[in-house]
Amino acid sequence: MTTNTARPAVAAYTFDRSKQLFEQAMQVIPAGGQATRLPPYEDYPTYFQRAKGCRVWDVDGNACGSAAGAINHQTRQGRTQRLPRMV
Amino acid sequence: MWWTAKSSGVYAGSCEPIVAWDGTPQHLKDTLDTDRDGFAAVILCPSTIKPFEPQTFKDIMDVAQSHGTLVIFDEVKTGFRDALGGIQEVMGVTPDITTVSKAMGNGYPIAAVCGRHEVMDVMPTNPSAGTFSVEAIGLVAAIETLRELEAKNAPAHLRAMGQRLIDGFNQIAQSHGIAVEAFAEPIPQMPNLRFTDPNEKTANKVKDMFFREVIRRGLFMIDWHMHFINFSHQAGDIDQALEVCDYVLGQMKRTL
Ligand SMILES: Cc1ncc(COP(=O)(O)O)c(C=O)c1O
Repeated sequence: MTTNTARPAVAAYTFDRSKQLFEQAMQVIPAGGQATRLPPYEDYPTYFQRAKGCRVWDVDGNACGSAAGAINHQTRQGRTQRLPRMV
Repeated sequence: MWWTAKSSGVYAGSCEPIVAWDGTPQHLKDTLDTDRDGFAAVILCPSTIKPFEPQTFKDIMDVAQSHGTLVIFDEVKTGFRDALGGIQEVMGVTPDITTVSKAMGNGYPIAAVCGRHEVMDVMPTNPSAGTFSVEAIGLVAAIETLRELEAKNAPAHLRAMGQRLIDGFNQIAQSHGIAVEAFAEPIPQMPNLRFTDPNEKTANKVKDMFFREVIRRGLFMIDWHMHFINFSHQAGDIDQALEVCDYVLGQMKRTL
């Protein structure tokens, strides 16, 4: 298992880039993504950039552990939790 | 279909032929008795059956069979998680039709409708087609995924990791005295949280604080749905998630 971050994150994450992209996306896509669910909170990692195992990295560079995969529609993360063989 | 009844813009009449039942054998019997020839099939998501035990499933099958009604298990969510054969394998029953998806594709788009021969044999006489109906990427993904799930006995690993998360979380929540509880919904592979303060307003406040804060501390959880343990989750990952929960619940205790 790779550990890229000390956990819990000592300095609380910020989500400025997610917010910015969300505002842009809202101009052209209802709810800003594939799902018709809005981000539940103002501070939210709405867009993920990459994933490995059960870890996801959002567009602000925040690393998160996730147990939300396998239902892909709650955020715009696509297939985040995949076997290395299939990448 | 799954979400249809919750969506705006759906003609209410289109849902009329569908009668909701509460997931108990008795209510199923009462419902089917209202129109003995009128029901084509009973569809259920096995995770919502209460009590979640073999006898309930057997009773449901008996009631449906005695009314000449097909039984469809929607194992889209539950399939391959507690056993490769789904909840039906665990409960020792075989429905007429089963739908599966999610876990079999590892994130790739794939779903399957399975059933016994007599039922499935009508499919060729009801041809259907869609834009992506000959797309093969999902099939390839499913074959690879199923091979991995079987070779590595994924369900047992998922169960162990889910239980580790649930037990660890409850210990932490208790130690901080915060009214939140992790539980299997209904299998440990699908853990969820419930906020148990008897005062609804307080419970909602605690819930809101918790979910906002864990995300800011490196744990992505969702506040409106159960979670899913993934085969990539190892004990260390679960323990890290618990560390975040410990930190956040500790902080909350100070502010609440
Ligand atoms: C039990 C269940 N059935 C079906 C679905 C969705 O199926 P489909 O994507 O084929 O509409 C879901 C969730 O997406 C589900 O949880």
